[in-house]
Amino acid sequence: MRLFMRPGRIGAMLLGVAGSVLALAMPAMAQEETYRVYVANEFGADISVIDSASGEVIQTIKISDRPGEVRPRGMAVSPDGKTIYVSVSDFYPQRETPEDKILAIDVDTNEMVGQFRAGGNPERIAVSPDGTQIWASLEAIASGAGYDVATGNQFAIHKVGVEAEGVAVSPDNKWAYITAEATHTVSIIDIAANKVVKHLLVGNRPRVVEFSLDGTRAYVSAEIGGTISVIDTEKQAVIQTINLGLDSRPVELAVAPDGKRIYVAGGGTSAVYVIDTETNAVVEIITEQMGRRPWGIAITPDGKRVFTANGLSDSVSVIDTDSLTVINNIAVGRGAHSAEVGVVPQ
Amino acid sequence: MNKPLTLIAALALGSVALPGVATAQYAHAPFFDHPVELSQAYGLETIALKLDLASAFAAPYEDELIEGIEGMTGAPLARFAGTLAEKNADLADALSAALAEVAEAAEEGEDASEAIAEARELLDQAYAAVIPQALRNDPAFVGGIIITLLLAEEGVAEGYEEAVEGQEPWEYPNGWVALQRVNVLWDEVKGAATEQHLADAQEMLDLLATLYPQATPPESVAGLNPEEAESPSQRLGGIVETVVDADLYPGRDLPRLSGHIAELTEAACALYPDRDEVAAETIYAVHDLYAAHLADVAGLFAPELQEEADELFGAMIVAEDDDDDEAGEGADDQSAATAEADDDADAEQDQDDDAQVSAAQACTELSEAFTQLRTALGG
Repeated sequence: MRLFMRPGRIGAMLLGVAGSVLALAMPAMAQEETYRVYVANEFGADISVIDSASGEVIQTIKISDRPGEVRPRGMAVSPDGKTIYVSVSDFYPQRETPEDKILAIDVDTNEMVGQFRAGGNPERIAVSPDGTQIWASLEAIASGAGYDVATGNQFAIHKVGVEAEGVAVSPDNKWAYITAEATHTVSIIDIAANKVVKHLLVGNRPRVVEFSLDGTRAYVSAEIGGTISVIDTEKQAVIQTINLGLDSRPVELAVAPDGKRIYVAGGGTSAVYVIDTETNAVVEIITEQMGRRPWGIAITPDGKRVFTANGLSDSVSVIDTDSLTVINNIAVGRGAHSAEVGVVPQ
Repeated sequence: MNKPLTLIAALALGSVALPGVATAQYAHAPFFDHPVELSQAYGLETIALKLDLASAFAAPYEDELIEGIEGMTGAPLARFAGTLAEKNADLADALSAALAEVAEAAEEGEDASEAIAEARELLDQAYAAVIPQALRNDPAFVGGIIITLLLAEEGVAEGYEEAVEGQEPWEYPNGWVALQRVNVLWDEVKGAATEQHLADAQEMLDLLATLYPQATPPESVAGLNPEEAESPSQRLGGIVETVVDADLYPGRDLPRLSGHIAELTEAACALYPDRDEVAAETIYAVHDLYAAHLADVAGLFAPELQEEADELFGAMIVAEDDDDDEAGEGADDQSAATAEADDDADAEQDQDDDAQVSAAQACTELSEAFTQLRTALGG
């Protein structure tokens, strides 16, 4: 894949420091592909890289010398699994050279291979199915923006709801959905027409949106609402609301590779909610040995493991999807926010 | 102010698709059951916190602290002054005078201890007069106060964020003193908590205490995370609502909330102009709910409505977050107008009448606007 820009001013910042590991029960995980789990540590301003087979942190990638002020949060993976993208927000852009940006990490080498500026506090990002575009929610300016992966150029920017947060691109590459916390909305952008076609009210304080594999549904977590809104993407309407409980505080969600389940990180109850997509019913709530306040969640491409980024315990919980139990907890950096899974080239 | 509100087409149901709402999980909903009393209690609590701050620091005070102390005689007092005056006019006058004395002492850089003590005593009496004892003992109601102290402007989360991100160091003591009060109120309601809730809540309180080790603002905020108090405050709010069995986030059900504020506004309008101070108390409650949960929604779907509502609120009340600009300018304007009319009592009376008519008219227009919002949101 062609990547946008040369690393520039922070190109040589990679650190080869392995983080500490809190090893609990750790059964062998035989996998045909090799995966690496990337965890954005919001307050530590770094990325923990975990080898999924060993459950060990193999590297910590420093993002900024200004932890607390500059925060890595959202992440996305390229369609081939070889590149991890991270959105980095600078909360004090007026103090020094602004560090609002989106950067790329090569999964094979764990080196930062590119970056471009994305002003306006990019909180979360999504990669288009063809891998050519990145869409970002720009929290500070209530906007959603599209960037060309090859050049880093911003080719679209639209006003959406206040405190833009989650973002997803439909599998047919036609629509970008962007949530907004303060207006409780999902804004639907017609990518080809380059315009916002609708704002939908969803649950209270929506966080993350993800599409079903066939693109007929979009699922939106609502943190205060304690719900998952199910959107019929053809009708562009909420057709069902899945109630997880008002204390659940759901944030990120991950759709299983076979499309049959959704895994939802419940920050309020320190749980993962497992939803059957056929019935939209909660079939399991995983709490045993879960880390504290899971916000981020990601699943391996083979569907066998789920990883949660636990912000309060600074850890990652590993869930076996057959038994739906936590099989490991791994210490990561400060303020684990999001997780994403990359595929190591064979 | 008299021009009719026009809701733009975006508020038609064609573009506002209504979400489903989670099934009611808790038995109580204090922001729906007792919105005006909660607003009144917030005013009383705010004044108490300002008095605590005046005690926590020694005279002469920093200018920003003086502004905060003086501010208690504005919106916080107006949240309950009308009701207090109707129940006990002498107490209302005495409290107002005592608060003014504290503010004056702060302004002059004098020791305010005696004035603070007197004001506290009168404030306790006012609390008892305005808020029925049964409500004061109701965990759901207390939960409503806790969530407000945690999340509202000048509260625990916002105080920290403003101090760190907004580089307004004197917001920090506001958050600190709010946290002290949250601890006290949590002790009042935690009897029904499970062991797990107790442990979780204590962990959150401890986390917040590390962010607020003392009343004095930190010497430097460099490297601090402005949103660090937000997460534990939210988590604590979630624990509190479970423990007190009350929904403390009224914005979860926007259609219901829009109907609620439309009804409240209509009820307030019936009180103008004869009981304008009491009417304004309800408008404060409406403003709190609208600003926290509906203003941004209106701003996205119908910016005209949001703009109009802001203007109409301004004709009736001075919200706390307007104190720095509108209140100050308004106070100056009013002083100037009063001075010009000083020798003409009739003219002054005419001016008061105009102001009352204006507030009443604004209320009517706001009521119409919220009725449209309610219809659009299905409330």
